Amino acid sequence: MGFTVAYAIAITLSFRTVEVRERMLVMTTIFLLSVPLFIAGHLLTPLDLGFLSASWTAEESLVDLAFALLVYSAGFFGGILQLYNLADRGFSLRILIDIRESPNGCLDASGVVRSYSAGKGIGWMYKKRIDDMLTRGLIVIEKEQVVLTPRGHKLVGLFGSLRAYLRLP
Amino acid sequence: MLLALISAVGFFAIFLLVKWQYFHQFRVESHSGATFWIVTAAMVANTILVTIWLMTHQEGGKLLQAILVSNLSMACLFVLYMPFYYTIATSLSVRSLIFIASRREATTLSVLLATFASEDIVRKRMQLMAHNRYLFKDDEGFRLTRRGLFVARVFTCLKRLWSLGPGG
Repeated sequence: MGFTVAYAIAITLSFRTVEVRERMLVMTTIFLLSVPLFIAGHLLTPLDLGFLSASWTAEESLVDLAFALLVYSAGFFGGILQLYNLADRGFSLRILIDIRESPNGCLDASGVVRSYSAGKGIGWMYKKRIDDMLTRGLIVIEKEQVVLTPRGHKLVGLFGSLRAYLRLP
Repeated sequence: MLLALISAVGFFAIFLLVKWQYFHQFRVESHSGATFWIVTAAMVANTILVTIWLMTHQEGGKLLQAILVSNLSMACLFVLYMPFYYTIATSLSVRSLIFIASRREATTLSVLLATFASEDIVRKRMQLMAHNRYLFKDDEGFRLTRRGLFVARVFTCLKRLWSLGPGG
């Protein structure tokens, strides 16, 4: 818990003081670098933290470490990283904020298309996704046609079969 | 402690099996609702098993700790799993890739823009958000509910705190 809070503070300070381009990459790298520190911190700290009663401490230190790593990983991958993803890329969230910031607090679909992301428009949002897919090597654009790369085909195979199994439209 | 962790992993695996099989067999209207009830049932079953095990093995003194550790472990696994699920279910990029792969004719950027950056896509998303009580519709368009306003406020603060810009 302490490490997760410390991580959140470190990320907040770095985002506020340094211009970070690949934020997700930076966040994940910092997290991975912090794992050995986390393990060292865990091993150096007394099991009872100096105040817990015996019934609240674990006898198996490896199991205790595994549990601590699980909580720390969940705090990062399922917590801080997801908050960042939502805040920076969330489609529905942006619609909520655009409606809130609209002059009379009300927008219809065409209004959202025009004013999405503080006036950039919905086309901007989708082009950003296209740029991401290009950067990740999932698609290429050849003679104005969008073509899947072998990596893109692999991903479609995996996600397509999972979506089909879940009967997602 | 080891039992608590093993039980959590086991019941999380059962949750995954039941959920995926349920979604495969039936057309589910509310995915988040169904997921919530299945994971809740798995956590209750996990709590019952851990309690029975500790009581029958004279380790009742560690009962509260074991239940907390076990259910917190399940919650952590759930938190790690859900982003993966939502990537499969809702990601615009994933849907775009599947769309490109499924077309026989060439896909241009303008076709993708017309399909995925259209008013229709936005309208459907807003209707879904209204269904989930983040928005409500009146004569002029969609407005925020209290729930929607709360989420918008919290994330506006977070965006400011992290200096993120409009995004989306």
